[in-house]
Amino acid sequence: MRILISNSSPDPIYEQIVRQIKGQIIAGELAEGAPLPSIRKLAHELQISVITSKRAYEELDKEGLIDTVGGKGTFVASQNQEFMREKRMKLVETKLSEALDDARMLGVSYEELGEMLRLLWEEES
Amino acid sequence: MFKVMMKDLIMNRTALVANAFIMAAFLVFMASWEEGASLGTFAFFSGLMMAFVPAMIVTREDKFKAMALGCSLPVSRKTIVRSRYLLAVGLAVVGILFALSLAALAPTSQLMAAELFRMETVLRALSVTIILIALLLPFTLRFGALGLILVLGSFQVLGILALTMVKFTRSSADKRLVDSIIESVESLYARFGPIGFDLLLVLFLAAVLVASYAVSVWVFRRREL
Amino acid sequence: MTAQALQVSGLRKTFKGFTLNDVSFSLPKGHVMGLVGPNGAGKTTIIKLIMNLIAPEAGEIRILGLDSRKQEAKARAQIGFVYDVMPFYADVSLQDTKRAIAPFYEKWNEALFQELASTFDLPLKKKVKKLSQGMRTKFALALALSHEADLLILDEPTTGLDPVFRRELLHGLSDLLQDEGKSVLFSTHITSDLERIADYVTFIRDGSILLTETREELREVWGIVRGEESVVSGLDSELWRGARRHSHGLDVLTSDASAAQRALGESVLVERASFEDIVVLLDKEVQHV
Repeated sequence: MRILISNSSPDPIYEQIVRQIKGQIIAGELAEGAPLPSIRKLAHELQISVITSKRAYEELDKEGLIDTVGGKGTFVASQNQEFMREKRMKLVETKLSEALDDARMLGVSYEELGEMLRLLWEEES
Repeated sequence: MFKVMMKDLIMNRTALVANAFIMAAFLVFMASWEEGASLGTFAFFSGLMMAFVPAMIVTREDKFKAMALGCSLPVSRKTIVRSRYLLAVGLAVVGILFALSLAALAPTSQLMAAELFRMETVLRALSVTIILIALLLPFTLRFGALGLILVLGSFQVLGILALTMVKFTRSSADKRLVDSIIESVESLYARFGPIGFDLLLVLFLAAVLVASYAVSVWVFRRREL
Repeated sequence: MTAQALQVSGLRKTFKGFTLNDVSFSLPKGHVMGLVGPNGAGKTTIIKLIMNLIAPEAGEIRILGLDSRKQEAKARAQIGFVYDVMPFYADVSLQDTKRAIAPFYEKWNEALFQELASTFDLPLKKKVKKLSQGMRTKFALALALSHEADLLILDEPTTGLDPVFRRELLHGLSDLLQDEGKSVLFSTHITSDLERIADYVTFIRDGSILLTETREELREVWGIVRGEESVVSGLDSELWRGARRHSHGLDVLTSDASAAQRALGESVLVERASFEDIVVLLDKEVQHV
């Protein structure tokens, strides 16, 4: 799990952490049940206050993204499948619409695009 | 309390050993001195030397400004004072016996073991030590090396004052004072016999020490570091 | 079981030419507090009062719930201390110094000390006088950390250390604090120390506490408003925490940067306040023209 804190960003540090961890969970980079560093370890690694890392984890816990098991540590929560799928679908949608924008700019037709999609799908299968 | 004593011994190890050698040399010399070797003087000087050992311990600590270390440890100021006194008396007894043994064993010594190891000799030396310690410790605990200078300095000043007074008044007040002290001591001796007298002396020394200890605790508790 | 590692209330101490006045602050267990202020502000005095090296005229200090004076031996058994000038005997070796001190602590961990001595590269057989200031501090730290102290008190621990070692020291300290129970109070006049390790910051000047706040709040919420005096002086006094006038206008320290931005609009520049900014500006008054 890699987190980058920007000191010059206007966003509060805890928000940056929440956003990055959340993103990694949704993208699947952080699997269900994957262990997260303790509050103190995170604070030490990022050179932030434990108060900040605690707040970030509390936020993630509130959103149901992580679970803290007493005595064992903090882990990525088993995600609500529907919810995760929905989030991932959104990502796919965003990427597709980006591709669509590019395609339109080039003047590619809907049929050409469909053909491209089918070929790519078959390639990867 | 023993931890404080051990700490003092460890931190002053070299100085104590060096001191021991110097004192030993001096004492052997004293005991061998054909012209002046007298039991009484020897006892007096042994006692005198041992009194400066605890003072040295405290002033060394002051010199390195290490008192803040000792007082930052998990120990109360009272305990520190108590250990200092106990160590002082302990070292005094050991030191005096050591001095007497030296005088007895040194081949050049003029003094005999028999007379050296009498209770009287030991007590005389011990009295000198304890009275001096009682004076030195409160001052050194409060003022460090400066305290030592203060005490020795005031002895000098008092001595000079006394002499001057005597010279001026041309009286024999000093002689009379000393005479009366000797007289009262002798009468006590006669009253109680040698053993009784010794006991009284020990009680007196204990009282002096306790009084000094009380002052030291009061003074050291208030010392700001 | 108290949740506060350290509680200082109403401390007062008068010296010739300096008074420590009504000093109060608390350090919750498991956290790090930086006590910051210029030289002569009273940081060392506060630490001496906590360690009972000097006595207060008024006020109370509780260390993990224990009275710092009435239960001084028990209280100090929980404290690992490092002073900026450590009062060691210069002509005694590190080894002997350790031998003299270790027995005072019930929870002394010799294995841990040896490990730290090796990590810090301490020449145990050498006498203290042969060591540089940096080495002495490392030695003092090794001693302070080897008896499982719950509270570490460090008085200007980074003074006299080069920037590289300073960073290593603070990072190493942070590493050691992985144990939930340990708390740290360290005093410094070097504000960059705070950026790395403090959870709370207490600002002190001329014997008085100006403010105690979390590092997070100071960093995320506080800010500096820069702009022309006519505009900036319109800032609500509640948000005004100190100011300085210069040739191009006013710099005002504010306890709520976004509120200030909203209130004053585009004509002012609102930035994050560095700890140095805060030390310089906090409670500073600007003469009204």
